[in-house]
Amino acid sequence: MTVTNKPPISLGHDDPLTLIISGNHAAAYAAKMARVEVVAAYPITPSTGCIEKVSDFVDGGTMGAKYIKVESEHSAAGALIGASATGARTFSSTSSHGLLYMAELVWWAALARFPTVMSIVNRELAPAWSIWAQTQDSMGLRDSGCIQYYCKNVQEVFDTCLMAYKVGEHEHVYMPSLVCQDAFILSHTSAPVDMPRQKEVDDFLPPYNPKHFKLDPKNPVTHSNLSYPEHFRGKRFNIMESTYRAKQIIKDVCADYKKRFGKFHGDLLDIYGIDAKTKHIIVSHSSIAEEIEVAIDILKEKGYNVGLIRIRVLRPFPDEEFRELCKNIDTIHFIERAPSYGFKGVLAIDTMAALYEGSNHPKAFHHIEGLSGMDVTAEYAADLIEKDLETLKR
Amino acid sequence: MVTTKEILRLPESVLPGHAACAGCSSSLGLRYALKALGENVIMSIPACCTSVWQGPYPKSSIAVPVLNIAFAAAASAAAGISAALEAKGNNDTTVLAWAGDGGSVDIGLATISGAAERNDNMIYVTYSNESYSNTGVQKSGATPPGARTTTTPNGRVGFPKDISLIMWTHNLPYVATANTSYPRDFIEKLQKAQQMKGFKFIYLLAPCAVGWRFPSEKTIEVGKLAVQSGAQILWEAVNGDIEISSLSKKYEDPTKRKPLEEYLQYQGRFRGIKPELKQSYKDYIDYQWSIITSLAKIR
Repeated sequence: MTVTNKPPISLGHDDPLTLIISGNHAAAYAAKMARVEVVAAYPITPSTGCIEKVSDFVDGGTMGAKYIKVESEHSAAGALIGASATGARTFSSTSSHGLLYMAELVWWAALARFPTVMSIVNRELAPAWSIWAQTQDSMGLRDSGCIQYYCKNVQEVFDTCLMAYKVGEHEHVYMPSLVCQDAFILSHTSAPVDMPRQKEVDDFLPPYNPKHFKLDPKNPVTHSNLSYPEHFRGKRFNIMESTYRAKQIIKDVCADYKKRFGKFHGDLLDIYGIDAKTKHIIVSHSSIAEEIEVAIDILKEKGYNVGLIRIRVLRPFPDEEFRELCKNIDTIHFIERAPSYGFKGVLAIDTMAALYEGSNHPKAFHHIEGLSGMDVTAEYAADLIEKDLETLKR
Repeated sequence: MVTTKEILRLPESVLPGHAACAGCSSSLGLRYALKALGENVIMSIPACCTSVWQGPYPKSSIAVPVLNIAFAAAASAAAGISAALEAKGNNDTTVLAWAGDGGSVDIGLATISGAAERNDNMIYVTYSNESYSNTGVQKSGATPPGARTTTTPNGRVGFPKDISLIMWTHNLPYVATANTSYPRDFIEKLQKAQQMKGFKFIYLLAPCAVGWRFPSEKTIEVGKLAVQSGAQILWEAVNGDIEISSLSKKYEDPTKRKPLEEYLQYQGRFRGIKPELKQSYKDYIDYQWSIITSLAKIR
């Protein structure tokens, strides 16, 4: 067998570059600079911009990936699994119903330990048809084992896609990643994105060389055949351990990325305006959180000692980190786009479970806001929190 | 054509001790397939009988690398394997997608159609026991008229889908039908397919002793009768040109065919079915012959 394990040609730039691009294009540039070898994707609004940009790169000869233009998202994920199992670095992008359509194989990729990276544009689920932002699509896959990142701006999308490969391909992790951005608010909004030199990215992210498993006729292995409970249990606990372990690896990779490229968006959590005296914490996610940073400034001016925790990584969940930050606070306020029908919101459920194991149990306020991309302005968010705090005075 | 001696000398990649039912022809089929294709092969196997009979972890009875994958994903996973090999400059490993009739004709149809339309580089074999045998013999899109399954206890009404012709309409480099009772024909077709680049499709009829309810020692005989009665037509199409294979050629003349009853007599699945359902099977066979012989004239 003739195997030339060289990364495919990607014509990166020699000098640092700043481009004004959308979140979709930021993910595409990251896939190119990560020297992805196989892309498989199916178009769905609003993630199409990403795969169109990848098509431009591939057809223009600046990205050496094989791009499989599949007939469904289910097949996109199937192809990523096949390619990743063969030792290739893989990429896709999808959204909403597309992600749910491939859900069977997203679970498969995770439970099979294939570290693909997908750019997910968080979009509402129908019915009724809606194309605007909401995070239930990816949060519905919360328990699959995928590492889930929620980005607040376009720069973070670019940086996180690169970091996601580094984390997911770590030999103590080997899990796929979903790098999520809000529909339109990030996917279609252009903002300046600083990109490092290709050589620097190559140093940060060497070619994918799986040590755990690879389809190789010289070393034939049957992957995922029937397993009896005594073997099954071990495989699943291994995933539990690996995803927990990923917490430290995410922290390390974010620190390394900051050192190399000067970009840091928080690691598991992104913290704003919290000090030793903070009594009230807002918990939010995605692009809403960036708006809430302004709300924090407004509230502080009014004399409230309020801070913000943005959940940047939903899985693995930063439970100890939360307990540490919340050990002296009085109230916690959730502002999230992710209802769990029948019981509050996804962020609240997970955060409250984490805090239950700590000694401080702050009073909680729940706000499901921004459904279907509805704007959550800083003033509106500040008003919500002020009203929460007023109720305490009564 | 390869000789039986030569077949026996080819390396064995289906190892003894697998978990197939007595009289299983799909294990025979894969044995021949891997003899034909050699050891430099990567397989994708969706949910099907082979996902069970390959045997449980930590062992395996298949000596080439296997990626087990979800029901509707044999072709997409194989497309990914093939693309990754290409990306890594590997041009000599054969990618074999090995799926049952349910995984191809029904739940995997869009996937296989997509891979075929893109002409992704693989050999896709549908080994067909004409039912969902693995889950206890339910009706599939490939179940023939009149056959009893656990979801058609009175016999299947209507005609099956012909996945081989559906694949033929995808303008593929190679499409063929084969039968586990004729290994030399099957091996020759596989080796021909292996020499070509792109999407190659083979429909392999694989009689199922349990599902078709015949004694397990009758597998080979039942398979042969499928061809000799004309119920299965062996053909191949290189770049679209359909040619009826020599084994089926003489049955173009209906008078040369053995009576369908002879094929059905061993099979409990047809026992006591209504005469109109048996007639329906005969009508289907005539219809298939008229299509294949007409298409074989097109060049």
